[in-house]
Amino acid sequence: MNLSKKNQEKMFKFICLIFTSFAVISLVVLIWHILRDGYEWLRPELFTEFQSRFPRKAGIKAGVFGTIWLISLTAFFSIPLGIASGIYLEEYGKKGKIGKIIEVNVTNLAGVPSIVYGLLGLALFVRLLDFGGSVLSGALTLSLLIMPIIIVTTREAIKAVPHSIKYAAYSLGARKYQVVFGHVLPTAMPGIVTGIILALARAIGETAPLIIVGALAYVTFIPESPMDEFTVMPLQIYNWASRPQEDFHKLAASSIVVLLTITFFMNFVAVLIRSRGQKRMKL
Amino acid sequence: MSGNVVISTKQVNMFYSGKQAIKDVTVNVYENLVTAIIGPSGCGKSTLLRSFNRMNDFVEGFSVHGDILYRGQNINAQDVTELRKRVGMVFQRPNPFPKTIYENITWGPKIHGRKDNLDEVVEDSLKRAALWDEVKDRLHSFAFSLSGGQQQRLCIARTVAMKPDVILMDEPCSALDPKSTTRIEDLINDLKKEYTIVIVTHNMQQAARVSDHTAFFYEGEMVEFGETDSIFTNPKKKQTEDYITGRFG
Repeated sequence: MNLSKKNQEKMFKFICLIFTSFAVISLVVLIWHILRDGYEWLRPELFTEFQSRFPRKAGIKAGVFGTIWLISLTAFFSIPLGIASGIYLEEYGKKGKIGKIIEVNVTNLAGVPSIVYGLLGLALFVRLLDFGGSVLSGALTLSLLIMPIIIVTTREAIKAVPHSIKYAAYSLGARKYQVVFGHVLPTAMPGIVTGIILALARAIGETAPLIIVGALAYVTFIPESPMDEFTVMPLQIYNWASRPQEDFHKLAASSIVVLLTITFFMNFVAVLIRSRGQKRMKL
Repeated sequence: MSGNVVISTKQVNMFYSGKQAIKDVTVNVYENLVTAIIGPSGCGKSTLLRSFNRMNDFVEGFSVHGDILYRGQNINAQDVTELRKRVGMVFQRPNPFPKTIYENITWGPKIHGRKDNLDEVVEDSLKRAALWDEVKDRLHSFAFSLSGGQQQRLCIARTVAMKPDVILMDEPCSALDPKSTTRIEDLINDLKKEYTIVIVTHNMQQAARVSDHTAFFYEGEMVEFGETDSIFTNPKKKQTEDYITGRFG
């Protein structure tokens, strides 16, 4: 086959287009299916009712509140720890061999399957520290899970701060912490916040580690303290989807719509913050 | 040459990861004069300048052997933040903070504990940097909204706000158009009444126009140092003559 350069170019463009549309089409089909199954069950009762044996009486109230509890606590633990570690590794840690090893390991941690974190959470938080199957155990486990993501994005955002700005600050006789708090963090903030939102969006969808840690699928109360037992939206969805009655499947679909709406919204906010940050940094 | 010596080096050698950048340089910078460091690219002139306020500390693998004195004291023996407060720096490319004009000026004084009369500091510094008239109505707008030349004068104002003793300028006009360059050069002439200035420049005419003393560097060595007039009209070394007459560089 002897294609001219121009045709090769067209060909390549076409192939890329096909693969791109493949991803987009599958997403559209997925959303369409879920909406078709779930739209009639999207009604106020979905949010006001607890679990029930009868689909008509079942709702995700426990899951919604459980998720809110869980994500708030996860954010509370993981954000300060993640940002502080990112600052330390990027600004203070020695750049030698050990630094390199830590860097590779943190990046690898971000890729460890979530079920492994679940097992760690079970051994450490549920058993050893005796927090039981509580919101606290779940939140600490998810914090471990998303901390590497926050650390990596924090480091990337800090790395992207122009050296010229830091040097300008140092040349005025600033100490390191003054440079970090005065210039590095404010300049890197859009990137850091974007990373946090994406990490939390991932945590919202996590199911496997929470099952291991002992979150319940059938909950008819709202957690009142971090030590209470809980459920989350994905777990309720999992529970309903595995039941034989078709109405429960529809209930699951409508809950997926709620969950997707939340994660899409979070991603949208992240994109918004990122693009605004980029505009600010343009010279 | 007479007057008070502000910065001096004594047989200083500098290395980047073992590669020598400055060889055996002994030089004096005198009070309230402008000292220009000229030479072709890679001759070590910026390296020397950045070592005066220890900005080379940030370069991995950099080392200095020999003494650099500021007002008679070894610069490594003093607190580096105090040193940088006294020896300010203007960089090659304008690098204002991504903040407002006002905040750009006040950040330095603030971190050193100054809290009151910041308005005065801003006005005074901007006036000294000949920027006040252009920005006085928009002190709270973003620094990046200024032109390149204005940004560089803002950086000078930011340095001046620290009330430094010495101002180091690392090719401050290399990213600017001719008109902005002239403004900065005029400004240097005004500033030397109160500050000691060391300027690194590629541009020989600029060195001739603004400086009192000139040091010519070639491949890490100081070939010649003297009053600017005599360097440019009556160079003692062949290399200097070749460079300033444009035969190389």
